[in-house]
Amino acid sequence: MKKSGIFLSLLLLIFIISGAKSQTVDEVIDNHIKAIGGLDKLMALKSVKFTGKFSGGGFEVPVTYIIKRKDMVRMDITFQGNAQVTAFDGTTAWQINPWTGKKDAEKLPKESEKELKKQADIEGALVNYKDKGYKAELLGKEDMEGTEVYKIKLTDKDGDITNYFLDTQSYLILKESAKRKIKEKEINSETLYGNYQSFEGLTFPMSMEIKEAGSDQTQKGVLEKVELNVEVDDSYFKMPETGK
Amino acid sequence: MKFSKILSSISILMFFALFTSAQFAQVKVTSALFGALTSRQIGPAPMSGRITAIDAVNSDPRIMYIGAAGGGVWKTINGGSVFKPVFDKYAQSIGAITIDQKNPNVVWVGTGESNMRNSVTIGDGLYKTDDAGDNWKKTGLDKTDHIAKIVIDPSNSDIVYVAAPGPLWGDSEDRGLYKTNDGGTTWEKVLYIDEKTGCADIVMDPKDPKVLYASMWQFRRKPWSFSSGGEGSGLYKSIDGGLSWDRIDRSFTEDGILGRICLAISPTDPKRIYAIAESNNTGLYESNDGGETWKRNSASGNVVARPFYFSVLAVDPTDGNRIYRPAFSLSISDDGGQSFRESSFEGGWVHSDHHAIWINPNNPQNIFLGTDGGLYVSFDRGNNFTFLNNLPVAQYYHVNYDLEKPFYNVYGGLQDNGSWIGPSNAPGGIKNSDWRSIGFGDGFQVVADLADNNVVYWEYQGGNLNRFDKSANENKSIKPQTFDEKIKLRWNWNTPVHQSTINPGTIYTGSQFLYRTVNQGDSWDRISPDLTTNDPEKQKQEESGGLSVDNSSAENHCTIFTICESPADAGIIWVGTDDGNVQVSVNSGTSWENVVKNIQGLPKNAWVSGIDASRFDRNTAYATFDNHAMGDMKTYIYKTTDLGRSWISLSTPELKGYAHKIKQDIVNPDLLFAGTVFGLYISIDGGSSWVQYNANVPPAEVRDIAIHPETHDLIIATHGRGIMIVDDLTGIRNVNNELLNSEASFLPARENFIYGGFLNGSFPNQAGTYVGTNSTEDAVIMYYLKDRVVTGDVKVDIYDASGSLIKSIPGTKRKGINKITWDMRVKPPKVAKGVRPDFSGFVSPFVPEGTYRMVLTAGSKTIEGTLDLKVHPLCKHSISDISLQYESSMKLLKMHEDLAFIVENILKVQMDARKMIDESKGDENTAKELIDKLEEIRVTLVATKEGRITGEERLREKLGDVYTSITFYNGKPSESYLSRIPGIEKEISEAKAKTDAVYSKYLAKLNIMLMTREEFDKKSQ
Repeated sequence: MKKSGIFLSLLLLIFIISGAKSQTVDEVIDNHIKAIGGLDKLMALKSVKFTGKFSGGGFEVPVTYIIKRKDMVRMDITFQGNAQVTAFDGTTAWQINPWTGKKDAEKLPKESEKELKKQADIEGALVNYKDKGYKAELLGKEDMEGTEVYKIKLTDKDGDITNYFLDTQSYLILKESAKRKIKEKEINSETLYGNYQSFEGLTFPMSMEIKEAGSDQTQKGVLEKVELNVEVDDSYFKMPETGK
Repeated sequence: MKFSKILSSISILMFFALFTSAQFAQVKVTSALFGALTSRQIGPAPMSGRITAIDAVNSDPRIMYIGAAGGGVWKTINGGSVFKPVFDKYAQSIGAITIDQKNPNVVWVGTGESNMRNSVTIGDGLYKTDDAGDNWKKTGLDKTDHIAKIVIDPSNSDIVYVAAPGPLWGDSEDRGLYKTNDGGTTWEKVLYIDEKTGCADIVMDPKDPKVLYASMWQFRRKPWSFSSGGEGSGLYKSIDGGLSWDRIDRSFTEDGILGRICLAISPTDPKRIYAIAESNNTGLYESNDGGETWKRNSASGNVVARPFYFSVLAVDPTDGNRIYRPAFSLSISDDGGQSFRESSFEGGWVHSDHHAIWINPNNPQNIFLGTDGGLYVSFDRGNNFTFLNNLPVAQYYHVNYDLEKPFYNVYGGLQDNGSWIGPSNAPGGIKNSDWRSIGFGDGFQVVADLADNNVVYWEYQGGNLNRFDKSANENKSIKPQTFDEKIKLRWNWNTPVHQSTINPGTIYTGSQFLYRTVNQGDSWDRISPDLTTNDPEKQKQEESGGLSVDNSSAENHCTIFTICESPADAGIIWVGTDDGNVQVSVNSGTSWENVVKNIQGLPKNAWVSGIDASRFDRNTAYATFDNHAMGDMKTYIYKTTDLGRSWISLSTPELKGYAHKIKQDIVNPDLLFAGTVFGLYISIDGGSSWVQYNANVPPAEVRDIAIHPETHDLIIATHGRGIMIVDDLTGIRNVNNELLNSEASFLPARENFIYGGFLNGSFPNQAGTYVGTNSTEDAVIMYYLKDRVVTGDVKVDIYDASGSLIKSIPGTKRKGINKITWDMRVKPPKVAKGVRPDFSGFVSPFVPEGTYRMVLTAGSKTIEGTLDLKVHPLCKHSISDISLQYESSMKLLKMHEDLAFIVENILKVQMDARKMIDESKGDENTAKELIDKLEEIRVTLVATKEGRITGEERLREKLGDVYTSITFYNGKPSESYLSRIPGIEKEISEAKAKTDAVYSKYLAKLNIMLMTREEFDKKSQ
């Protein structure tokens, strides 16, 4: 066998391995959906409850986070018996902020409503993104903290952009970055996801690091428990009467 | 040959490859390895730096993009209240910014400013964003080095013209007026003269975008001279979008030799054009017929000043007679350039040397002005200005440090902004007011006398060295003077000043001769002959400038440029000259040898930009050469291990741009840092390979690098982004192949101190000013992960000597070095529930001094390490006082939890009783009684009234006051606070007794159970 033959074959092999065929955005998203449990399981999910804690700046607070189909979400951060609540019931976004010494619920502005609605998307924005009115673009591969990722740019009908960074090996989301204009303030946020674990065939990140651009502070979230299809009444997401 | 045979050959080869890689893996070092070890940018911003480009969105002028000479692109969406850098991955010298006003999300940036001074920084082409600065794409013109202006056809955004003066230091065809018809995909050079002449300016008729006026400029710098003007220069007009051109400058000069021409067109009357044309009689010209005929207007000295450096002229968008000429100062005309007056500047000084102006088209009263000292805004048509002190684009030449504690200061000189001292950390962050100006002019070396902390040496251009007394605020000129009136000392623009490492306080400086002082500059010893080539052809600076003589010392040549006394042997002195000599003396200057001839592959007379003598070996030294002033942008780095007899090149393809500085680490001899025009580079293998260090270090021109001998910080001086500090090199020093091959490892860090707190407390930084980032006072924990952990947890658990878990810190999961912090405090107390959270729940004392065990869990792997905590050496308190503080604080912390337990049970019992009532079970009246009795107690224990400022003080609040006061002070608690502890303790036990009494009376009746302390302790907050 001639040496040149081996080299030619090797070259061919390298060519195949290096993925001469580039993936489309839909192929990447399909692989992502498979990686987190598959379309059927995701669409069958009725509710999910996360329990864990948030830490940042030296303290730690317990948090519960419940998403219910369709478009309902509520997060409770409890500190010294006082819960800071942020919620969306499908139409109204509201919060209770006990730090100010006030226990009543307050309505949140339109922009927050929109963001909470996105958070209430139980299967995730990339799943059936077209039906949700999003445009997805694969911006290519890039390096994220030393790991190769696909960068997907998701644009909603108002032009708001969220970038997803998917591990090219596992197709799991390693990072999400978003730019939003809230009350004339531009906010650039970044969330890193990790510690993916499976629950009844669905995969969830059990850890996250949340950063706002320009701030050195990172908030870290660690989930301890994920419960699927918990029974929770719609009223749990509704703004309490006291605040109305 | 059969296919199967090929396959088996391949698999054997692959197996072999796998095997070898498993055994002898050389893990490739990438920039990402260091990604978590981010620099902190500390500014400064009080003097800012040269602003070269300003543009704003016409439909919403609060959205602005600002370009700096060496500091990238900054965007504001609020008219300047807040600026954010949006160009941090790319070349930082900005020549032009133009927004597509039809679609303001599209912005074009030309890199490489075109104010062609000696210290100008190059760019690497043209960039475009279509999402308002979030993402940028290179769109060509990579080799132009300098871009002056970008003009977009208002009727068709795909048509763009770019004026590129092109390379300053050599012939090149990459210059002229470029045009694209397809939004930047392809470019055509539509106006080109020759390889010496570029395009300096272009204006477009606002009503007919096919009508263009472009000025061509012949110019050239050499290390020792500058020439502006020549046969190639001229003014051209096109009426067909650049297809054909007519020269229209006949009336500007009789001999046809022109220099740089800047242009302005009246937005209200496009036939009216103004031009300042450099010639042997530079003048301001006006045409009222689209350039057919010109008349010369009278012009003040400022209007025609320094045409190569001041190349901007602007006409008010609504008034064709109002003209602005930014130059040394701002000249304003109200009569179409017949006469000018200067801005009044009543509100204070506006930095001289203006390079950019933007006039609000919707409100011409509002003007932004870019100067050598930052950005200013006017609300009265340029008469008075406010300085925007939030742009940290300082252009440093050098950086040094002192040994002050707890935080050292950084010292450095800046382009056109003098000499400054500032702290490496300051309470509340490093603010503009923390910086102290100690010298004027252009600043270069600012050296703290390490033997006398009161003394600082600083200089202004041309070697004008001074000694500054910090406490007396007094200055003395100590520049060495000539020893023979017939001999002129030649001082570089950027004259070296060097301090001995072995003998702090011994200072060197150099003209063509080397000088040394041991008495703070009161007298100097000349310790060398002329060490330069002394080439007379390179010493004609009085003729330099071309059409306009410009001899500012910037072109002084045949001078000493770098000096380094060996830290391993004070008798060895290295000197590098701007004309390419590397001189070494091994006998303190008695004799010298020029060893540059021993360097292979180095162009002759290449400027010696830096020499770093090794502290580990007296024979070893590193040198960088910067030949860019001969048009050669390559990176030259060499090393000798035999005092210059032989040299090896340490340049690799990873290095980009000409080199200013090399620095060997002071602990690990294989760790090297290099600074080039395009950023900072690191090598962990003695220079065999390099990677760019880009952890919050934009690719700004790195002109100097220092390593602090006590904190081990890497201090980086950039020419455009101020000072950056990478805290603590200890971790990086320990990166080696063994570590890189491990799955997970801890990395050592410098000592961690408890009871510091030197950054506590300060008045909040006022809105609109810059504040530099402090280093953390928390313990730093670093670990390496070979691969990113995606499906497992990463955390660091910290245990005390007794094996109790003190803290579990969620870890980052990146491939490479990770860095997390721990505040070194015990867990804050669980605090009794009240109407609002109590501050005590965030507060806790430091853990005691000692060695703590760390356990890193990374997926399935677990490794252990230790963390030593020591009381800060500057902590003023005795060990016994610290112990008393710790014990008192811990006692109060426990009291908080005791009270919280009492209140928790009250709430639980009340809830259970209420539930009974709601569910109509049991004795309703008894249950109500129980609730009320407990409520009577509860309102004495915690605040219960709603509202933000209720002033309500109950037992929890009293306890909180004593607890936080004692915990926040590192030393002996005040007697008066300590004396309250027994009283509060008594109240807590009384409260317990009261609740117990209630419980014993009611609980059994109602069959309600109390929560146990164990159950309570398990609960989180």
